[in-house]
Formats: sequence, structure tokens, C-alpha cells
Amino acid sequence: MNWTGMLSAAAVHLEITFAGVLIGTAIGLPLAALLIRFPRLGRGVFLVIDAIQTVPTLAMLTFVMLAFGLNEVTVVVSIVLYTLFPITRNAYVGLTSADAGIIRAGRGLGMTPLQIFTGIRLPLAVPMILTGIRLAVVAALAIATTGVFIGAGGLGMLIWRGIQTRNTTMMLSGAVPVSLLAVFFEFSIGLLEKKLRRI
Amino acid sequence: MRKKLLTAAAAAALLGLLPFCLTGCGAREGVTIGSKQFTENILLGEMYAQLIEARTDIPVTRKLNLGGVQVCMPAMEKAEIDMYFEYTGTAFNEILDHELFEGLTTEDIFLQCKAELDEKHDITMFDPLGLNNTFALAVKTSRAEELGLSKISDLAPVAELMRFGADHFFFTRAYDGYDGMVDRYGVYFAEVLRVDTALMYEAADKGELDVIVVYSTDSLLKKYDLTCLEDDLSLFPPYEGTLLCRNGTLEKYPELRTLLNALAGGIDDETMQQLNYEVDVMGRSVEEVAGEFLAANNYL
Repeated sequence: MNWTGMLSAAAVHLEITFAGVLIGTAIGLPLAALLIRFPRLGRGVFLVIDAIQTVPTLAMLTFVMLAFGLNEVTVVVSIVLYTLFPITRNAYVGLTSADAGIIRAGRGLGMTPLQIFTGIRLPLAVPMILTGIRLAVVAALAIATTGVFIGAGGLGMLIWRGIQTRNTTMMLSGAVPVSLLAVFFEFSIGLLEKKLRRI
Repeated sequence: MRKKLLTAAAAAALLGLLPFCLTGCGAREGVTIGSKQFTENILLGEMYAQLIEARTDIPVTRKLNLGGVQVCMPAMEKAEIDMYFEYTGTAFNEILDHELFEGLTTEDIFLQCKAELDEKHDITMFDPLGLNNTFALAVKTSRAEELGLSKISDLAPVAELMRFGADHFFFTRAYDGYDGMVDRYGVYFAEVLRVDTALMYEAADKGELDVIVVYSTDSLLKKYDLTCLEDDLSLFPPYEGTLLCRNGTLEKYPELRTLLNALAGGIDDETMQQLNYEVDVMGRSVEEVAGEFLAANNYL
């Protein structure tokens, strides 16, 4: 059981996952905010995001690889594209679902549209946004395992080589950490969501 | 509190990006060897890597286990990899997009591939190693005897009673894959499944699959009692194993022109099966088996 190999693969795997989700959030959240401001763009933008979701992972990786090469960056960019779906959609729903009464109250107090956004919509949307991030992290952990097919690091190599050589120990040494990480983040981000819901 | 969270998130994002900036910068030194995602191709990729490392000063980067010809060829065109091990049949059908090979001998196909790859893709195809890793339809011997199967065309009348399994790549090929097989032989199976090669053999052995698509140099053919059916209507072209290398790389390192032919004629089907067996079934590492083979045959 090659523990150092597994731990370094897990480190790369986490790096890829989080780089992808962080960039996805940095793009997805402002995008959702933009769609609140310009609602007519909504249909077109969501059409593109939904279409991206339907592209098979290996095809996406091959396509992105043409621009970014056979390395981890390709996987990160692919994760960014796939996580736009949970992050932007959830953020959009969260931001638009602020109670109309509260918004009217805010306007009554003389709040500008920007103040309404940052003072009312955004804080109330935090739990929904976190849900989107939680979904994105779990999806990203899985997508990162296919990075092996375009020469990236991560736990995918252990999983696939284990399957190919019918070495169950090797396969599990890759698959179990991925599952444990998914469960861990699902649980801890979920906990954070619950705590922040008590506004 | 919110400001602190935002700055923390921004810092984390920047930290996350840092490693990638570092790896992306700078031109790549030496050669990069790619390979497809199955043992044989990985083994051969490793062999060439060790060969170059032992006989030259050129630094070698390995990018083994890539996702098939669909990843390897674009990677070659983009110079992300400089060489990988391919098969003439795949080059003929998939890369050069020719459907029919009737009347062409094995040598004709090799020479045509070599010429076209050089002309259209700026790639040199080196001399074949001797192995012919062709697709084959295999049936458990007891079942083959039961139904009197010896050729693929024997399957047409009984196909609707049988379950068929092949790996993902068999279904993606335009001419020499699933579509070509159904076209040529008229076999309509009761169930058609995509199964990973490693799991297929067990499934066939246990009777969960009746017909599977195997590769003639598979290690597991040694282990399980399967009969390969004769390709009587010539669906599958020959798949001689050869190395593909970008011309740009050969111009940069001319010593590779002779070195990369070192293994020509040196590995036949039996030998390849044995090498695959040592990795797949005996669980030895790819590096070890490759190194041992090269040393034992005085290539180093």
C-alpha cells in the first residue's frame, strides 16, 4: 500500500477540485448578480450553461486540452465549466427569492438598488449559494478522477490503473479517498449552511 | 466578519491558482512520451521512455494512460506529446479515415499509413515491432462448441439469444467497430453492453456475457478458456504495432531516427501477451517488466 503515493495524489486531487470550484464561484456569482440586473440575458445564459452540462466529461477534457494542454489546468478549466450549473443557478434562485416585503421595506428606508442587493438579497441568498458550492465540490471531486485520461494527476490514476490491472487494493486506494472527501465536504458545508440559515 | 470571509476566500483562490502558473510557464525540455490507457500501450510507452533515457541525454517526460486515439492524436498535433505507440489498422481507419482495405496486404497498409501520416500529419511511423494486436470476437469455448461457432458469420442466426460486450472504444470507431460489425455480419444481439476489458473476461467466463470483443495480445486470453472466432468477412484490418513520432521532434533530436527503430521486429504476439500477463496477472510494475525486457534483450 503506497501511502505517500496516495497522499500526494490526494493533495493534487484536492488542489484541482478547489481551484476549479473557487474559480467557478468567482465567475458564477457575479454572473448570477448580472442576471438579476439584466434579466433578459437569463434565458440565453442558462441555455449555454445547461448545454455545457450535457457534454460528456472525456469529450470536454479533450476539447479543453487543445487550448490548455495535457495537465491539471485543463481539468480545472473543465471543472469551472461544469460547476457553473450548480453555482449560477443556485445563486440566481437565492438572490431572486428574497421576500418582496423586505425589499419594499428597504426601498421605503431609502436604500439604493446596490444597497438592496448587498444588504438584503445577498445575505439572504447565502444558504442557497452554499448549497450550490456544496454540489459543485462533490461534482468536481468526481470530474477530477477523469483527469487521468489527459495526463493530469490526482486519485484517478490509482482508480483506473487498479481497474485495468484488476488490482482491487490499488483501485480502492484511489476510490475510497474520493468518496470520503465527498462525504466530508457534503457534511461540513451542509453544516455551515444550517448555521447560516439562522439569520 | 463578512469582509474577513471575502478576503480569506480571495486569498484561497489565489493560492489555488499559484501552482498552475508555475507548471504552465517555460518551454518543455526533451521529449514527452504518451500512451493509451491499456497495459500493452503503457508498457511499450515505458519501454521507449527507458530506451531513450538509457541511450541518450534527452530528458523524458511520461504522459501515460491517456484516453485513446481521440486524446493522443490531438495531443500530437498540439505537440503536447512527441510520440506514442499506435497500430496500423487504427491509423488507417481512425486517423486517416479510410473505410475499406480489401485487396491491400498488411505491408500495403503499413506503407500507405506511413506515407500519409508523413504527408498529412507530419508524423513518422516507425517499423512494426511484429505484434498484430487485432480485435477478435471471443466466446467461451464450451459455448462455442455447444452452438458450433468457429467463424463470426456463424453468429448471425444465434445472435438474438446472446449478450454482447465490448469496451467503450469499440463503439466509437467508425468502420472497424460496433457499427461496422453489425453492417458487415448482420449480428443483432439480445443485449449490447459497454464493459471494461478487464471485467469482460470474468463476465464471459461466468456466462454473464456470451460474446466479447478482445484484443489478440490480451494477457487474459492465456488465463481463460476462450475461443476467438475467425473474421471470415475481413472486418478488421491488420493492427501492426508501430511507434508514431512527430517530425519536429526528430529534427530536434536526429539521434532518435535510428534509436526509435531499435525495437523493430523484436516483439511478436506471444511475447507481448507474456509481457502483458506479467503486469496484469502477476501484478508486477510496468517499469520493472519494461526494464527487464530491454535489459534481457540487450537494447540498453
